[in-house]
Amino acid sequence: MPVLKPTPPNLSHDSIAAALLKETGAANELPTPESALLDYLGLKQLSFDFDAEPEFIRAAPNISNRVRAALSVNHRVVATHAGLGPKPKRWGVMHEIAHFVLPEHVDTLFYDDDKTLSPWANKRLEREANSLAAELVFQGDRFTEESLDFPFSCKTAIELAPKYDASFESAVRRYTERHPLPCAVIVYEKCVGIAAEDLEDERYRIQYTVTSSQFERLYFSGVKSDSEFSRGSDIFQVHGLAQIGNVVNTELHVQKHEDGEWIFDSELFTNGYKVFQFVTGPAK
Amino acid sequence: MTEHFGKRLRRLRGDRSQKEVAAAIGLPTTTYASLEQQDGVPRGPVLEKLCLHLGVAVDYFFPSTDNCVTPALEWLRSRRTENFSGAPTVATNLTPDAEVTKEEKAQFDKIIGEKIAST
Repeated sequence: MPVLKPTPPNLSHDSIAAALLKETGAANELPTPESALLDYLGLKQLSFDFDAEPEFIRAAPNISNRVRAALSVNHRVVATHAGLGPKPKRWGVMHEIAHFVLPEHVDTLFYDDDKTLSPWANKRLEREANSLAAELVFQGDRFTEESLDFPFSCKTAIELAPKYDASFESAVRRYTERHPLPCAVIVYEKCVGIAAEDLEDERYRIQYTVTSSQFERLYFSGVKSDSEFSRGSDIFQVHGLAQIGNVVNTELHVQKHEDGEWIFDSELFTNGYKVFQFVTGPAK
Repeated sequence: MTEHFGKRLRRLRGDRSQKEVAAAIGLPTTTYASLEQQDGVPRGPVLEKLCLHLGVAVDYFFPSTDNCVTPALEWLRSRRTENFSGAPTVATNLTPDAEVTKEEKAQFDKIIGEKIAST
């Protein structure tokens, strides 16, 4: 006999995050203390070294090193991989908390099996969990409002990131997505298959683009390029920097659909793994 | 709903002077200065000129209110006391580049569930 699922309440993600931060008192603290959120929800946090557990390796040798976090609702446990750094671990915990408090998520993730949960639905749930995790880390509009007191530059996001215990990447993403002015960030990732010591052969490709709503309205929502960026490209200017997070100013030329090109001011920086190009309007 | 208009306007001005921005949108400097002191959002052509010059959408000056917090609080309170003992497995969050079959994923979820139960 089919089991009827209760209709989840129609609540905005922002309101759930705001309520959780307020109810736990986390809204009065920076960075957001994940322990306060876990305690309130009656969740425990455990770490496992999935790579070293024989049963994991036997059962799924290709997965053990791919795990970031897991949520067991019946045991009320958030499990994270012991090998995660502090920032990915924090994000993993916030992400699982988000699954736990988002209406529909627990029912869908746990009572629909892999046959009924389509890849599309799964991606939507993951995207929603990341969105709510960002609401918790950046405390709604608090990060954006604070950032507007400082210059319009990715340096602002980089400098505020430690205060929110956020990675450079998540801080720059949030800064860009929520900024009222036209701006975008293009994220480049290293091409795989190149030995770490083979610096001369190092190449990057565009991983994704994030834009502010004004930028998307005026220009474009993403930059696509199938080509790889090798030495000689502007983005390699960040390799000369003495410190991660330092910024190089440059220009970005983007081909329009019609004739001509836009020329934007841009700032390049690296977090040691990826290269970020923060682009600001107006175009020249 | 319309609080902090002046504060938002001041932030957008950045390091430009009030005189410079006022001149660019065709307002007396004193009028512009008073806008930065007020909470309410001006209507009509003044708001349009400001948005056009500063490069923001009109919506920026109308932040959403948080009047949905109460139902959300009720939801959270119910969630913290809900009994999930019937939940069959766990949901594992893998790195985005992980290419695994549904069977592998299901098996892995099962093992993590057993591991957690025994801890």
